[in-house]
Amino acid sequence: MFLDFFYNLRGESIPCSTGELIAFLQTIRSLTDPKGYISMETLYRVGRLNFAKDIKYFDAYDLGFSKTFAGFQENKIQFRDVLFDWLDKNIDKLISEDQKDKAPNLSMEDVFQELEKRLREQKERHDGGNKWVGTSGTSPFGNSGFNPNGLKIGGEEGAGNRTGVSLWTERNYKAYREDEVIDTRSIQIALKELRFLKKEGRTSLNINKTIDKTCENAGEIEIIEEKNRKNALRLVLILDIGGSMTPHSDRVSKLFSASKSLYHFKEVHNFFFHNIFHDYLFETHEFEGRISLKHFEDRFRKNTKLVFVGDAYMAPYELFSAPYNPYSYHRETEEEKLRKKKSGIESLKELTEKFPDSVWLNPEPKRFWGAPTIEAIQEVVPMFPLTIEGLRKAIRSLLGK
Amino acid sequence: MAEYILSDELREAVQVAEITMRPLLLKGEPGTGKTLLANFVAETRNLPLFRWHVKSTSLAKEGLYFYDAVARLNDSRFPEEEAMIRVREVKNYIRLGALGESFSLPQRSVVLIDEIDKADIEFPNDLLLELDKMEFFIPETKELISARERPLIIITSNNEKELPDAFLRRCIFHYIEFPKRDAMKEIILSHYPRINSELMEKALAMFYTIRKIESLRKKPSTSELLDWIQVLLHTGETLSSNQIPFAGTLFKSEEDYRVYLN
Repeated sequence: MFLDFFYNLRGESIPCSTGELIAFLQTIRSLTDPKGYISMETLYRVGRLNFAKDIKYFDAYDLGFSKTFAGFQENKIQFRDVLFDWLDKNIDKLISEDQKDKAPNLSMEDVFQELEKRLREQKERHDGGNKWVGTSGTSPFGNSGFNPNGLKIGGEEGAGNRTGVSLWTERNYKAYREDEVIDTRSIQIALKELRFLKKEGRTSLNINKTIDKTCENAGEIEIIEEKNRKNALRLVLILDIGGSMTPHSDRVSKLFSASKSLYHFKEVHNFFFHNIFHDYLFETHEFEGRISLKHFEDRFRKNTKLVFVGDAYMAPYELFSAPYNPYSYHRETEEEKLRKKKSGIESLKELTEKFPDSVWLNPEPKRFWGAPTIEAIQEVVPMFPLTIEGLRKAIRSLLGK
Repeated sequence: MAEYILSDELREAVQVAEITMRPLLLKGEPGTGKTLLANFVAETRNLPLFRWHVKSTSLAKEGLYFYDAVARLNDSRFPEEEAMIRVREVKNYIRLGALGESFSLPQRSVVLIDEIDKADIEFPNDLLLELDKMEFFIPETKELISARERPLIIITSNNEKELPDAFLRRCIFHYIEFPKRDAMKEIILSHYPRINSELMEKALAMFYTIRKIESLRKKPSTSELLDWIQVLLHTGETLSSNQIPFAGTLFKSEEDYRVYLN
């Protein structure tokens, strides 16, 4: 059975190996009581201690565990839906009957009592699922138009003990899965991978090591030269804001604030544009502090890494024809207007030719990348979705790995 | 130090680490008492504790031993008799680190490797063999230091860097959940036993409401709550209005404070 468990966990892509299995069996052996029993909860926790080595695997562990040890909830989501349906139907019935017989004010209490009774029955049937049902029991009432708070049973944070089956069917750790979330911290962790490229520096004399080595040689001087380990990375974030980017502003601002708190790079800069840029980028999100592309190219070294963030979604003329950019147009002099002939895509091409290490992060899910402007931009800059996975891939592409 | 409150889950984690003889890796929000666990275990079992606070410049070797070559060179330059005797033996210049000291003790001990993620990415990998075999070799003296009694090693991480898989494979992992309300009450009572229960309930209600605000960059943790309560007790504040007095103790960034005001 434990072998099944082990392979189920591996099936949920938790990286665990023979060593962990042996350690797990060892623990189980010494934790079982003389009669050979061990409680489900202990088993659950001991297994997690041994197999799941990061909180991001906890959700997968919960799935693997219930797959092995609780046949009847092989698919929890389904199980829950079934339960919801059941509650829905029965409660509806109750309400309608009650409402026929009694005044609506009174029926609320009756329904409550009836629900409690039902839930108690439910607990007996499913052995140990009492809390589980308790918390989900509020939902059908919301549907039926009752105040969900009034019927909430022990749902408050910290009230009571979570025990038994509930522990791993609640999927408490779902939020920690890496393929689903993006938060400032995980962005930072991902961005920190950029630190890998630190061999860019020149060789220089390492005084400490030279002294150490000389001492070890009893005074015979030995000079140690090493490559500079400093991260010479220059990163420029160029963000699309406003318009169709507004729904993504939360994620983008998380990326932005994560980049703000990176101290490990030599330089991190931010620039802004709307939809696409033509000759200018802006230094603030209020479109102030205009910097021309020419100036931009002079200001940053060739090895600067550019990260564009935008949905690349706009009216085709904005990208493919020479600009009329409502956000900058009125600020321009006549002379400037005459000089501008490049389309957005040409400006992008020019910029990425100057700075070959560029990527584009798109907050839209990949399946929506069919729009012509997205496709055109994708041809110029490698594009990745704005998820932790995507960010990692983008960074790997920046590093040329 | 006020009493440390050991949850059942954490007790079990320590137990599993002892059974499997593997290091216990602890993660969790700041202020959940990761570091204090080692103190607690060492104190309650009456075992010696060796601490190793990892810094960004730490090297894996520093936890094992350090060859003080500079001191030796210095000694060799002065013809004092004492120094001359000392200088002949390399052994006199080997200083053991936290792991080294613990291995060389004849009894069991507790080793705390604090904030392992602060160091270089390769750092944990450099300790693999030492943690596995609980022994290491000092080439300078050709000495093998091996643990007579395997120590209980407690490692904490703040998740700043991902730890390498090979390293994780050798650990027992436990994630310390943020204390629930009841547990938090116990913690507060252990620090301020004479706190008025009405005040405590009010403070807790406010605290957990604040923690529910999703957009906070740094949610206040246990230590902030304790500080805040201390201020409240000191000033005799009763929390009778909806305003949060001394919010500066709970919010550590201007941005969060503004979020709260909204």
